[in-house]
Amino acid sequence: MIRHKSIGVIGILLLLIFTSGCIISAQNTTQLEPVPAEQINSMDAALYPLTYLIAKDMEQACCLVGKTARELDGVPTDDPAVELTLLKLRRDIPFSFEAGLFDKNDTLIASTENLGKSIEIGVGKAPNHYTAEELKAAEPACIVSGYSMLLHGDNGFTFTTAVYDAQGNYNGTLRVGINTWSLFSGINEYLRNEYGYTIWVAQPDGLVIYDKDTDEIGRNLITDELYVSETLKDAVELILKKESGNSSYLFYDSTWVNSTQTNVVWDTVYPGYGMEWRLVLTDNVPAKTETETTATPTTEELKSFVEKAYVYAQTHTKEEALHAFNDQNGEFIDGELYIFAYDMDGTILALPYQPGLIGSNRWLMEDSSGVKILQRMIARAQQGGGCVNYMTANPDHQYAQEFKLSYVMPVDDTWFIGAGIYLQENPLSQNHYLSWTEHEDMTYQVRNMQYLAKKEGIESVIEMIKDPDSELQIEGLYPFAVTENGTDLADALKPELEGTNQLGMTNSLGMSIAREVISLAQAGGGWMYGLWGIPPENEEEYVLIYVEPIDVSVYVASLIILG
Amino acid sequence: MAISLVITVILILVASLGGLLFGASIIFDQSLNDPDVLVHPAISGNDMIITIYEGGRVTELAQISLEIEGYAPVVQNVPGGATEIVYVGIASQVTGTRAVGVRGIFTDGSMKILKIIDFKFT
Repeated sequence: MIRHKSIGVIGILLLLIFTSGCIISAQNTTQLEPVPAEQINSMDAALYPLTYLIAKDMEQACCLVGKTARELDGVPTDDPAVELTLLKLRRDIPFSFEAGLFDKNDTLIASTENLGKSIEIGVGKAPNHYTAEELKAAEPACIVSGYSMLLHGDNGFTFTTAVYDAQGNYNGTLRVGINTWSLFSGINEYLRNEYGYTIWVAQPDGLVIYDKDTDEIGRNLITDELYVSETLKDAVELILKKESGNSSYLFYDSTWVNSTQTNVVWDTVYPGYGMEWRLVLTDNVPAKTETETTATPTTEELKSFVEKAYVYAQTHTKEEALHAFNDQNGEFIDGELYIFAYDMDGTILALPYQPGLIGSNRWLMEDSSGVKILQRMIARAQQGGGCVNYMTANPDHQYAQEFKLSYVMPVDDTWFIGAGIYLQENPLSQNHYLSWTEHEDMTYQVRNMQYLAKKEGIESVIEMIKDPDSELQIEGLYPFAVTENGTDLADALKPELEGTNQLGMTNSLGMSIAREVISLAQAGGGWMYGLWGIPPENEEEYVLIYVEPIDVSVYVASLIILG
Repeated sequence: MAISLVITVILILVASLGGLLFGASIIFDQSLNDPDVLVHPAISGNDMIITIYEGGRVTELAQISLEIEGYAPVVQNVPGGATEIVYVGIASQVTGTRAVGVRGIFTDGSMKILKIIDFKFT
């Protein structure tokens, strides 16, 4: 695992650094206040280990890509070793999307993606073309692309390196898509929870490639109308011009109404050939509220609230219904409850407290654990509706990240509505967070099962799931395998389920975990939360699950208990 | 003379079209505001739950036929005042994406499709 060696050292370093100093932020200011040198020093001290960590991650990932390319030199595309080698590479870079082999004309000839169906072998074209000379000049490093939509539809960047034939002639490229959200969000959660800072990351052209607020990712700091304030323009100019430094600017707080002073320090990371990133650490983090101020509606009240909106939507035109749902003084706002509405492609139709976002698309929006919020909601709506869990900002608690339970219903095949409540009793709402090492361990375990299933056969993987001492096992994680029809093939947490059909097994929220897992696997894999009975008492607790397909009929997953 | 005739014909056409659109809009609005019976199907494990909300003929609803694409329809009685009809185990073998239809059978013997929607069972 790439990051494990550095984590302990960095953790201790940060702990020592933060034993002194406090963070002061000028709220609702209209002009910039001077920042004490002590604060800048504290922020710098937090930033530099992270710059090192990210640079190290990139260097090691690039090394793996280069090493894999050498293993693929001269190997015919139809050799089974190609698929195995690509799966191993994807397993070993946990923040990767997919790995693919392309010919000299940038056409995809082999890929790790097997169920996503978004990339067609022999048809899919790489978005960037590099000449053999450019690739040679980059060696032994990889060329790092700019942030953009990748071949399979997600956004990120790619590592690219040359592959040669048996005679040493240039024969094409090996490319690995990297998930910037996965790369940075674990670090961001660590900083936010332990020290009250967050990060954002930008390319020299001003494109934001990571921000704690997904709605800002992909915007350009230089040209986007969101970033028009004079102080911000000045700060952006400085950040993009200088490799490191500190500055302050006025920008919206989490309400997107009030302006507050944000103090930043930044440094530069060189992720590979042809790219550099500004890693910017900010101090504008809302503190989590410890006490509950208002009574949270029950799940039944939540459901009734959404059903009332459903009846309204069914008995009025879509236009009338959306007008009512977007009315901040209307009948569809009740305490913390409000109705949201989305198209089945993730486009926002109603969001009463953030009207400026209506029309924007959230299909790719992920929470801090990697759960694609809209995709899970849509999957649930397409089952007739039900409950969905995810982490999101709570406006009642200074927009702190908290665990939310939403209830969604489809109005018809084209759009759905929902509302949610924050679950204060959930550990993820109370300063507990999933560390990036746990997240990477889960990714590794599942992708290792994919790799071993190809290498040794699915039966071998099933036996390893059952064996608590097998090489597959990682402490605190529970692997399992299920068929497309819902039959449990092996289950490390509940071995007694082996051979039973799980489609009908529901939790207290009426959710069939098996149906959700299958739906997620058939969409290409990903992350989801679920409420699940935990042995020996079978008491329900929230779990996080990562799922990947082995093939069209067998899916593997890993589960961690969020407690 | 010819010009006034043409104008008269155009006026008649415009008035007819306007009346047609107005009538259609009233019919559309009425169907939205006063559905026979407003229902919603949802999956819960292997069960399907039909929730009955409201509608002009809700008191006349005698039976509901649940129709899943590729499977035989299953009819259940609707007790007076019922707001939920549960089809236990009906989805136990159902996977993938299928159309789901809910047909209402009324006390006078008439039938009407109350809902058709695509479901992703897995």
